[in-house]
Amino acid sequence: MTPRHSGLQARRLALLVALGAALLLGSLDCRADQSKSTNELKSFAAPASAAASLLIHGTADIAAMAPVIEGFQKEHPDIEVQYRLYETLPLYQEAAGLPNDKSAADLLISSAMDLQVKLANDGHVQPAAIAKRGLPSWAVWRDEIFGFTVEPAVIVYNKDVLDGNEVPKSHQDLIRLLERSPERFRRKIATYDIGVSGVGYLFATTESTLSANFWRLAHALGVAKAKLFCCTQDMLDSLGRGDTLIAYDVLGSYALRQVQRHPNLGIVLPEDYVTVVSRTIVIPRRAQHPALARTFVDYVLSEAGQAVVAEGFGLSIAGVGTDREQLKTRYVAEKPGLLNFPTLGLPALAYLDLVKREQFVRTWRQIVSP
Amino acid sequence: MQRPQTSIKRDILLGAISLLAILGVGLFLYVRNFSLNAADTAFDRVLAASAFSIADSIRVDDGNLTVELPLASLEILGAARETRAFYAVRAPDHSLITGYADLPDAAKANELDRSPAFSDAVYSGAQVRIGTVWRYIDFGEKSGWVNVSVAETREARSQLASDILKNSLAPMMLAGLVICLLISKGLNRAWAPLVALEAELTERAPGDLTSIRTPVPKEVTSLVSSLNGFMQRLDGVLNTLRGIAVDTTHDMRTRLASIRALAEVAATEPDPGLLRSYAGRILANAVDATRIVNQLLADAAIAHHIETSGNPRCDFLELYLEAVERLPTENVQRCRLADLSTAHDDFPVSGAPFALRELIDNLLDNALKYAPDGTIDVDLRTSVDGSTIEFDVADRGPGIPDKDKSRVLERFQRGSEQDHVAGSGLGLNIAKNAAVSAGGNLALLDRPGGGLVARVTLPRSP
Repeated sequence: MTPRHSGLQARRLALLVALGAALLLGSLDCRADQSKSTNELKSFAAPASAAASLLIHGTADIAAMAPVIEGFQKEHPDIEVQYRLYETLPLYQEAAGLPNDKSAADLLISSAMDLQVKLANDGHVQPAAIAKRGLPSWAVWRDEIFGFTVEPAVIVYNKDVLDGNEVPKSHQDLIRLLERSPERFRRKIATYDIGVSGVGYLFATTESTLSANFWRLAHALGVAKAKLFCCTQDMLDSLGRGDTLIAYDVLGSYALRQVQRHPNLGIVLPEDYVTVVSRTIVIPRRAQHPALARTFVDYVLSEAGQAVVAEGFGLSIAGVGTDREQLKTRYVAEKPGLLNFPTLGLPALAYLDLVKREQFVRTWRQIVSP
Repeated sequence: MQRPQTSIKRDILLGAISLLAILGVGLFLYVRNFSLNAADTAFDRVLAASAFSIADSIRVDDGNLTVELPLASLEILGAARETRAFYAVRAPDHSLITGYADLPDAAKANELDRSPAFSDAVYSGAQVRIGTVWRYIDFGEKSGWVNVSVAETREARSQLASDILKNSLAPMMLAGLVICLLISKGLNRAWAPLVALEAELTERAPGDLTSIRTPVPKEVTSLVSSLNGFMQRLDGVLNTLRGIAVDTTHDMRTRLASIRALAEVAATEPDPGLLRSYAGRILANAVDATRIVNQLLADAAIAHHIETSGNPRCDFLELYLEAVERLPTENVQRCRLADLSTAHDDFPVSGAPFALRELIDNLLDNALKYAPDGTIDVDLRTSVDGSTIEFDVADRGPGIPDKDKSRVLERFQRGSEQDHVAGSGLGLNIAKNAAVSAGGNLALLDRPGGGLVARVTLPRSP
């Protein structure tokens, strides 16, 4: 091995380690949602005397998950549920066996479908052996991963600043808007830091395989010096404060809740294509109460569970694989575009390849935040 | 202990089923092996395609090997929905470029072999199939073979193999079932004519010896014709017996009636001369009756003797002379023995003396009876080569037409023109049976100048 080569190798290794550390610790320029980065633990005491305890690690906000957990406890009153909040990447890394001092979860709930697929592919989850209840085929894999929500990536904008004509109805519109007046939106656009957010990375990679304009949009975001965030809620908060005017690739479920509190915000379901992720639930191989975990999965996919999910997450999965009418109604969209699902299966692993991921994130960062 | 009765149907069915079972197990093993190989062959190509697509995307970036994992490489494998997949790309010095560091790979067989290598392993808690391909990358002093290994779990392979197995075995099992059914039905069908035959015979009246009427397939025709032939012969014999019984009874009744009438007349006859003549006639009738009864008895007895006694050596001439002595005096005069001056002066034969005696008695009796007026010429010779003895009894009676000669030798058959002579029809048959049992034969010949020659040929005993 020549010195030159070993030096390069070392540099690469250092880069990977740095990336990993960044992924683990959360981003520096992220105004971190404290509850997520500190892994806040919320206990839902059993309504009756507790016979068992179920530990869920999830990325969904407590506000969204609480109705679902309480609905479950209505049917199983003797079960205490503990819900620990995570970001998508740490959730994956912990489940994939990185050293940690926390007890193994009974269930993992994440919006990063690709990371869940990788967990299943690498043998870190166990089959649930439950009835699929008519889940669309794209929302279930190997009887191990089950999607239970439908959450589109939407554009949220400030109604006070953008008048009706200016509202970007599609990705194409957003590109044109940014390219026409970069100065007006300088530091006023919010989007995911895909190097930090698992679901942000999933949105970006899924869109990059579908749209020829993906990199053009990235360039426009770079020119406008878009602000990068770790989490959907942070983007929405920044929008609410008026720090930013447009948030791109926001999880629809959070956006719906935010516009209720901030009526000056508007949601756009893009008319060219809509990237849709499904929050997925898996039972880790190391789960301490797998039978109880199965009961929970069963409940979440049941009719009663799906009704509560629809309330907490905007849309349940039941019935949405076949048409987009529910999506249209729920997001008051005129004509949402083609639904673009990330594959829940092997192809999801391609962009999780470390080299490929590093290259993708590096290229994206070079363009978006030079 | 009694052996259980065998059943052809059960044997054939059991044989067929066990043969089919053995065949089935053999086929199952063969097809299973084949299906596993077929599934591996098919999916190995996919695995190789995936590995090649990764190999194609290996680049040298700033003097370092790098690979941008193509989406297609995993999409190809993901077509089988349930499959899990792993991959590893390794530099010529075997350091990992990307992928799963602990994934086993195959060693390169030799420099020239560029075909993909496949191996089986256990990885991530599952059986996996690993395909490895090599790509030579030239980038200066560290140029060499880059190794791309792609592994997949076996769900899709097992599924395909089991589909092939099921789809091949299902028709075979159906065929086996049909074969068993056909054999069972075929056996029933084959047995059916015999069952019908049995039914007809069971329902028959005991005296019914007419031909079998049940229609039968040609395979059973010969059995039925033998049965029919047998019954015809039986019927003939029964009819003859009936006739003989009537005749014999009639003869006996005539004799007994004569004896009774003569005895009644004699009882009141004062004249001793006439009385004696009546007594003579009574005696003659009694002798006739006795002869008839004796012949019937002799027939049964000779059969018994032939079956039970051995064949001692005896001299035929002596037997003849004894037979002549037993004849009534007037008949002794009528028997004329030819000159015996031949090369041999003894006539040893092997046979039951009783049977041979009956042979001679019956031939003489027959000749004396059918040629009541003339003399009987008897000749006893040894053949020129000394192997046989010939005994001729020749008469000048009416003889027997050629068409009847063989028939009269059968039991209860008499010459068609001899109905006026009393007889049981047993005499010649007894003689013939005796000759045959001593290893010889009896032939009936026409005598030159009229009459019959009964010729007995017996092997000369050494």
